[in-house]
Amino acid sequence: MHGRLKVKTTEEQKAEKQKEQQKKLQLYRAGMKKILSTRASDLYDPESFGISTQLLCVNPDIYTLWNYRKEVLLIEKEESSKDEIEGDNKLAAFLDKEISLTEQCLIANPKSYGSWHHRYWVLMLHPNPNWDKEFGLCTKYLTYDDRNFHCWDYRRLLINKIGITLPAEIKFSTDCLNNNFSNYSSWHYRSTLRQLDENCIEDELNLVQSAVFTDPADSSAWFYFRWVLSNPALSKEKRQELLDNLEQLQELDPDCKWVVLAKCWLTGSLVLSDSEFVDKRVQFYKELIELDPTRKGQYEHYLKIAEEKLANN
Amino acid sequence: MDELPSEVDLLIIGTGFIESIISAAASRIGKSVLHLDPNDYYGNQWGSFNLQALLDYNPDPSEPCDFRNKSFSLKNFHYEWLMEDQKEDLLKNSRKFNIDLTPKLHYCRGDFVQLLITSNIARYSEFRSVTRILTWLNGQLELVPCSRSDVFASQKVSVVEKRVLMKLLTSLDDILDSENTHNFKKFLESRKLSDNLVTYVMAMAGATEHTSLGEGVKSVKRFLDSLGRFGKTPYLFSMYGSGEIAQAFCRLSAVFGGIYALNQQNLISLDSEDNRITSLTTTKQQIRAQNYVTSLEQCSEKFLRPVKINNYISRAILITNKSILPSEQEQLSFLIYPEGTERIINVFELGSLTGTCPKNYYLVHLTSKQVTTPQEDFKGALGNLFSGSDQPQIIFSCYFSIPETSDLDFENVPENLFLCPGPDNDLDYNSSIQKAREIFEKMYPDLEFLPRAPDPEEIIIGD
Amino acid sequence: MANRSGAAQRPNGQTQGKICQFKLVLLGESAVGKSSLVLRFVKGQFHEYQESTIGAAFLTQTICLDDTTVKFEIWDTAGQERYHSLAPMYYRGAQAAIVVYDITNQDTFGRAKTWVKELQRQASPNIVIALAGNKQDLANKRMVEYEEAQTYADENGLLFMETSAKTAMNVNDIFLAIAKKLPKNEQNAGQTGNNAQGRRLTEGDTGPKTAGNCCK
Repeated sequence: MHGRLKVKTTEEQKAEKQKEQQKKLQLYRAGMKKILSTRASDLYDPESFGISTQLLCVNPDIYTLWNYRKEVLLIEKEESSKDEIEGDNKLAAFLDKEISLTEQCLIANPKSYGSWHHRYWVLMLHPNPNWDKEFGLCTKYLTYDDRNFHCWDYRRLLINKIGITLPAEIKFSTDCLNNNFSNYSSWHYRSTLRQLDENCIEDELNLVQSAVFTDPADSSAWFYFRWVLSNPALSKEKRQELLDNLEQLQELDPDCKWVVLAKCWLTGSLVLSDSEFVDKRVQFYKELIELDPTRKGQYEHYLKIAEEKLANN
Repeated sequence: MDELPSEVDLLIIGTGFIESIISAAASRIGKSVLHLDPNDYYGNQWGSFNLQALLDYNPDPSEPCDFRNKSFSLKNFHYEWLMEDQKEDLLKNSRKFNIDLTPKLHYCRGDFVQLLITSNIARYSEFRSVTRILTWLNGQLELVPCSRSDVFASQKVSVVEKRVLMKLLTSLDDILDSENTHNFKKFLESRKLSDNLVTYVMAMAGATEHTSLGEGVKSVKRFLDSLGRFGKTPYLFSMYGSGEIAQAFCRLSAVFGGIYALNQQNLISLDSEDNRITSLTTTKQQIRAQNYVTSLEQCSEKFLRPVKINNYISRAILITNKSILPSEQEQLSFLIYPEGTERIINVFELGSLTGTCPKNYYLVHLTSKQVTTPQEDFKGALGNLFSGSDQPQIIFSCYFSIPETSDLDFENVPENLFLCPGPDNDLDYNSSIQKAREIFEKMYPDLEFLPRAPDPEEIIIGD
Repeated sequence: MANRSGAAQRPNGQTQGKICQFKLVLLGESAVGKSSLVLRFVKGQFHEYQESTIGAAFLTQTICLDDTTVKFEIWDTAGQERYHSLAPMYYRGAQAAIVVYDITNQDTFGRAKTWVKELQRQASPNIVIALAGNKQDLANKRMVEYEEAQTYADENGLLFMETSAKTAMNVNDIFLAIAKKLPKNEQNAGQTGNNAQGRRLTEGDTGPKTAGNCCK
């Protein structure tokens, strides 16, 4: 009854894909040739410019073409500066289209250096750039992939440009972490936002302890923990309390090296105010050597220093 | 209107979920299928209605006939308007309602979702994630932390409790299945979980105080297994309601040649001889098939010895004016409400984004094993959730009972007549799919059940 | 079918613009040529004795419009209209519809009007409806006058063209006309859609999000 319906085999599908690839390659070669040849004689050849658009949409990593476009944009800027009345508007319209192009390219590949750089470069050239819109874009891309370092970097660039609303950024960072706390970038970003003081350090400790207790095997949170511990605003009482918490965690997860390592960090700062902790420190390092023999060398080094201290007391 | 075909491989009466899967599976492998329904809508006891149609619904039309078996129809169907002034507004928006008789949730890695994907029906049906899971503890609604992120972000659980919970959840594989004699709740308490945590884990498992350890562990594993695939909870809900799903299988059947005719008012009888069905007689014609499939509800008593239904499913449907737990964004909530020690009430709260009700209203479905009557069975929960001055108000409520037919066995059924039970009390479709497979296998022993349908791009038309 | 015009004076070149996806449903009696119309549009083919079903839940085709790409997801009735058994899910989310009749058969035109009413009842109020008088190649056996259909279309806010799946006359044009009339705002751009739509399940979503870091 359905003799007319046939399904393509994987062979046929593969052959089709091959054909498409070949076509793309041909277009690329022809396009590049054309652009580079006309560039020699007339920097802004509309046809070549159009070809570069098409090629970049397919492959935004052709850095040469982005640079070619930059040359053209500089010409455009030169031209429009001659027009006192409408110049700025014309340039703005032209650059807005350029920004849309980068957006197209980012949709296809959100991790292309070329696209991000070009976008920023265009905005710097723009007579009235909309930095807030950029900020929104950045947030959107981070929700798609919170490990896209291009995007984190871009966010930092923008913050430098427009200044920062601390509470909003803190909230953003908290939301990122609530979504996924296994992320070096998110924790790192949080650490760049502000210097911790007595008021907020409690909250940070609660946040990072939530992370390490939920999953002690996750290293990104431990590194943030270490950063918080390095803050002088942390009182001795608080450090003792943290040590007690870690002891509880160790009872539940005796095989986790990070817990013991964190106890070493804590005693490292505690011994500065109270030499009583030195023998504990020695004990912790000995445990670490058992738990994590790959890094034995490092731990033995610290152990030696601690033992010497113990001997001197 | 045209006459129906007079000879087919498979004749199916009833467009419920199980019948519809069988129809799709048979058409898919090239059998000619004629799929009829005396009703003028798809889905039967698995179907969905707009508001007006629900008000007009009559589960038990007075005239008995060969295609309406009263033992298996819905019972105690009644509704009331608790806020008359809202009635007009709601009726104006009647078409925006898609009210399921049998709403289901789907595990993201469950058999049903897998079936949708492997058969490729997933290409044209849409789903929404359940966005939060709630339970009832110490007189209030509590969010159940499902994922690692939820545990991390929870403000209600101490850090040590967080660790204890995570450890338990990641160590379930080590608990031996043979411990079916032990009690799940007691086991959790023995692991030093605080009361909150015990309640959360019980909710994940849908367990009561009588659930065995083996069952409880199996359920939690199933829960965890489906996390993170399509959203932050393990569950999906069909856009526009679960009634769409039978329609989706029917469409698949039609696309492979199945012929569909609803509103068949002129069916007279299925004729049999020597313990085989020989034909279907209508007022206009006789139709012959090799095999016949029918839902229990649409099967004549002459083939089924009268049977006593021992178990029913209590159902309630509410239209309310606000969420039981309001939040910034609209949520699709699944509330596991323990009622006493013996029973769990599954509550789905659906907002307009699910396509099942208009904006600013909520559709609330309650389902549980029946103890007395639906109204009695849900009285406690309704009192706790909808009577306070801060709480949402019930505008409309509807109650009914669904007979539990999935475990019934019938003797002396004609050998080419296959009976499809109605809805069961499971959260998902697992056992119903199993039933459909069994029937398919009996009819077509060595043939593949719903092989993957081609994508549009893969199809070549012509020779 | 790409529509890339050459670069005009000082343009930034042709950017690809956005992609909008729409569900389009076909309606009409059996044998008016609905499936042939789709086949002609999607595959550029015509078969004289085409079977009424083709094993696909829907077919897709894309056309370019200015700076927007419009992708149609075209649903055929799969024969369920024959005994008036189209399921409500058929109409769900349909943003466009083509109601087809056969110009050589007056009955089918009458039925087409019923289908239009059905659409007005079941489908979204903003649905774009086109009326297609098919089999224009058989104009010598015409039973439905062009003006009659045009008038009916105008009165009901429908697009109207006579088409021929056999000769391909007006087949692309009717889809193009629909594409032009459809709203191409943010809501339809992209396939992920906005919050109001459900999601489709694909095999690609396999495996839980790995809890690990890049370097552990």
